[in-house]
Amino acid sequence: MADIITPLAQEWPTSKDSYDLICKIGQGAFASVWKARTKDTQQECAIKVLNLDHVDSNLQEIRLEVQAMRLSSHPNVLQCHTAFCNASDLWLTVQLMRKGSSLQCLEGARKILRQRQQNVSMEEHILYILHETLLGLRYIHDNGQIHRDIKAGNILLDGDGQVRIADFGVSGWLVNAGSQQEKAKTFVGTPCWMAPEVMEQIHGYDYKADIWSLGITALELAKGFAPYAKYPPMKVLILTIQEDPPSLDTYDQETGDDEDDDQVQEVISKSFGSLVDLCLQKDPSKRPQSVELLQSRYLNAMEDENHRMERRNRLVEEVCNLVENVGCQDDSNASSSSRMPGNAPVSIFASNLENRPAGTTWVFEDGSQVLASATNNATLDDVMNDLDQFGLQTGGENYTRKQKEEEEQNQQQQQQQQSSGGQGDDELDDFFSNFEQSTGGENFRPTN
Amino acid sequence: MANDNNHAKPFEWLSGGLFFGKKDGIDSVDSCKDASVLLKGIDENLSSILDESIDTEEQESKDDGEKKGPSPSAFLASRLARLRFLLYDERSQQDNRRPVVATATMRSLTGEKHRQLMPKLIENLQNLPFESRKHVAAIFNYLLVCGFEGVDRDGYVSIMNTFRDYVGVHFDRILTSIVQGHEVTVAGSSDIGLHCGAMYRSCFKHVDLYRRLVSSTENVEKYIFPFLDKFVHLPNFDVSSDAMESLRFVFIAGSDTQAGDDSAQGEFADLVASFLIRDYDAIWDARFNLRLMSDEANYMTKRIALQILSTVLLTRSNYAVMIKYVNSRRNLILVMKLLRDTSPHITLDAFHVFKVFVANPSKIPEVEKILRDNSEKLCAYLETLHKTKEDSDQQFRDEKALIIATIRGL
Repeated sequence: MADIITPLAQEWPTSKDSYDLICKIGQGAFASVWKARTKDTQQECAIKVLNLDHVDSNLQEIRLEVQAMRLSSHPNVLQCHTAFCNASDLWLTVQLMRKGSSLQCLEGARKILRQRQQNVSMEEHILYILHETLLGLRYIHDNGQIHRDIKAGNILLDGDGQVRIADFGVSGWLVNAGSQQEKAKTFVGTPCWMAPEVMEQIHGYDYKADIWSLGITALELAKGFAPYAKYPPMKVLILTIQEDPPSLDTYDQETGDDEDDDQVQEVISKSFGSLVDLCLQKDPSKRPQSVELLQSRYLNAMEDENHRMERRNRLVEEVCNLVENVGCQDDSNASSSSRMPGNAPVSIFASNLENRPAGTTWVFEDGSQVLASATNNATLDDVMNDLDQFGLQTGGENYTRKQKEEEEQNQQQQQQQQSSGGQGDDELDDFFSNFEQSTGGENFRPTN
Repeated sequence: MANDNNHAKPFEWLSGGLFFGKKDGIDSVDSCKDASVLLKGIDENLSSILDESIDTEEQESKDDGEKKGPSPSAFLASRLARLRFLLYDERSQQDNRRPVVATATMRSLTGEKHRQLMPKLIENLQNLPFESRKHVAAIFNYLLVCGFEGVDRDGYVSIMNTFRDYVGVHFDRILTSIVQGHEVTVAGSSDIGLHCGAMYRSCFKHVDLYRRLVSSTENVEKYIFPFLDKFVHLPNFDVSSDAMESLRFVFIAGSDTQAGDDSAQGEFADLVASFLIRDYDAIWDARFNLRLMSDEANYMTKRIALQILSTVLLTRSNYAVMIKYVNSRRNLILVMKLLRDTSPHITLDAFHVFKVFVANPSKIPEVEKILRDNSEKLCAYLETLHKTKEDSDQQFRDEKALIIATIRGL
């Protein structure tokens, strides 16, 4: 249960000049991921470069992401070596997982095996990956955290068959500084993998939300994409809340007569289907915990260490060794599912739980639905009022910065960047050069 | 974990001792339900670990493989894990049971026998296993805040307050090790700093402890300035951002405590206001202006420091600080420089500070002169500042218009 080995306190450098960036291995909306090497010791690692100007208000999310990784020491959780600021970028140095995401890896292997006209069955490998993921999840849950974005894209593989959960970008802390909230109430995630109780935002949610996501991930690995991935985010939310839980059958119904190149057609056992069904129960109290799943008959064989090693070796031989290391393959191979509409991330804020009808409190990254409420900010009137009423204390009422402001700011900033290079810039530059001149660089016009 | 405590396996109470039945004894810890037994064991284990760490310096490589059975630190690790589990598990039960584990834990820790244990654990975090450090922090934090939150919080208030008073008794010892814990990060195990940061913030959710923190300049220097002078400037983002969070917590204390009642919030506000004005020069001139918001500070520090400043100035109870801040030519120059930063977050917060300088009806002549001398350029620049925000935020639009009009009218 408790490990007694302190992780190696190896010093990773905290300046960008100490790293060589080798090649880009990933690109997200506000971050890129690089394969890198330390100049001194030639240690390989991955570096996530994130522009903090895109991160909201007080950088809480990113602070907690880095902390969550920093406070994790488990063979199935991606470890953070160090993190540091470089101008407005945050550099996050993590373990390099050479085979990339589990989905990408399985899809790559499938493609190669099909070309060789070999029989493909990935079920055993998927079970192994799920088992390792669950070990990591159990650790995360024991630490009082919910990951909140479990999906195949966040489960990474290394060449030696290591499986690690990555991207704590949205992990929430049920236990924050000792106070245990019974349920979490905000969500950032990806609709296809979201549990229904997370979307509804009525009663809050807990660890069980990750189990739902794991069930979706199982389907995703088996079929090549998540059940509702072809629908736009809003539709995914509605389907998840209204329909029966997705299952292996969902894919057949959906596909209908359509030719479907994306979907993987592999024989999948009944018992795999039952494991998925176990995870995908809409009532979270019926869903098993990570511990219970590990002990279930689907996975308990891997409690035996030898058996587990054997499975790991087979994963290496039959999957990992087939596919190239990340950063080496060309991008045209990228899994088709990453372009499906349901895979776009969304944020849901539940700021006024009581007043909101179920399922209406979300905000999409692209701003298409903004229903967040603004809290009060000190207005100029207030300030002047205060100043006028010299010495008169009103007291009590505190003003806080608001969240909406930052969101808009992010959007605005994107727009700004897009429009940069326009004529406004010249004027601004003129202004600044005059500004500098008249102020003598550092100081504004001297008073005399 | 239902109500079958009485039907527990025989001899379970022995599990806090070394072993009974099971050869290695550790398994029995996992079934122990008595917090005081666990704590007794933890106390013994800690003493052995500390004795050992002195010994090993002398006879380093001698006992490889000689020891049999789990080490004291293995026992300590599983006992701490078990205690933490019991505490949180008790809380997650829905029925109205009395907080047996929390009470027993609090009694043992504050009682005669083990009252040195908690300070000793915190002082020696770096000698504990990685996971155990988490458990120590989690137990400490839990006891300090368990009466603030949750629908069943009433049942925990007296436990929490007793533990708070206990922390008060050991205030200097505990705070000194918490602050020093941030220093350990310099040597490469930044997890300790993060645990210490969380414990630091737990303490100051209590107005009684917060009063101790800010009531004398001496304490401010000892327990707050290391953050301003050192921790927020560390290159490791994890520690520096956590230190920044602790500062934010202390500077706007009480305003985001979900728990405290109105009178506690009012008292927090008074305490904040009086220490921020009492130690004004050391805090704002020497530290915020010259270091945290200067060009030498990294982006994150600068951004959050400015945010803290703007929150402080726009909080009504900090009126005196606001007046003093905006009646300074140097402060205006600093804020005007930040106003043209490349980061939109920084320029927006700078605007919220800048507007106070302009709105002040009794500006000192030096401030008014700078504003007047630069009025044309300032107005032109302000017109362009966060232009797109105006469409969606009427308040911002109105404020900007008023500020521009005010500057023009000087």
